[in-house]
Amino acid sequence: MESFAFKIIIVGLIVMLAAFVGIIMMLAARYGRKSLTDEKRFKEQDNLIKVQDEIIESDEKLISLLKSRREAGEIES
Amino acid sequence: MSLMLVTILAYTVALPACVGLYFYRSLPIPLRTLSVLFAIATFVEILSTVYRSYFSNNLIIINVYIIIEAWLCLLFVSQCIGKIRLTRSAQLAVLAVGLIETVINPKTFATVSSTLESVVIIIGIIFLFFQVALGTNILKTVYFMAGILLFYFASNTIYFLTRGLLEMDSLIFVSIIHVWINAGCNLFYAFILWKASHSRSLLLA
Repeated sequence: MESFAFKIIIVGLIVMLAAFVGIIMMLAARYGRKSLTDEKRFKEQDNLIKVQDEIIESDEKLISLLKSRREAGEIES
Repeated sequence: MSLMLVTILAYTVALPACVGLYFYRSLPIPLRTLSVLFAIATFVEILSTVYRSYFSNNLIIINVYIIIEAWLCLLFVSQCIGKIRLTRSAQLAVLAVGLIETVINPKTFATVSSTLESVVIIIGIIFLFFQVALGTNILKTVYFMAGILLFYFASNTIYFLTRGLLEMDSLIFVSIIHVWINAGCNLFYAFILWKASHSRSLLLA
């Protein structure tokens, strides 16, 4: 039976389908961007940690050098 | 709706085929695959019109075309996300089911293989979007092309699953809507192919 209600249901189904596809696409793009920015942030944090490690390492070297010079009597505490 | 209008709407597939072949060299590889598919679809449309005028039944051509369509659409998905083993097995599954169905009943429409084709391609494209959500970057044009393919195959699935349940009047009405959706999708395909030949912007840039 091809009634008006049937036509409305079919057109509604198509609109819902289009909306469904649109929502999937939007969600994919949004989460994709988010995960990309997360990745960028992690990389930046990794770099920061590396720099901090280098600073700590150089500080330790400086401290051990000062200790050895003090033990040798070159400098006074 | 007159037969003339239906024929014109069916032949709108020539539009993305022409655009795709004209800009073939400047298109990204996944869209080149789809251009080939549109060219084949146009050829099949012409062939089936000619075949229908000589023989009463042209469904064998459509059944073979379903296998080619599934193969190329899944190739498009694998070129985007690179899951070659997964897509190759899906391609082989559709090929096997399609061939069996065509050989057993060449003069009836291959409902099982067409539904399987649509379902497999829908899963493939949703998987593609899932990969995008996890951070895989693709071209903007490829992303929109995948979206329209998803809409096209989802509407196809609904059409093929419900056509057996409808009465004649309703079936004609739904078929007309199906033809209009196909024509609309063809216009979008042509526009995206034209756009892809001019821009290479990434989706998540």
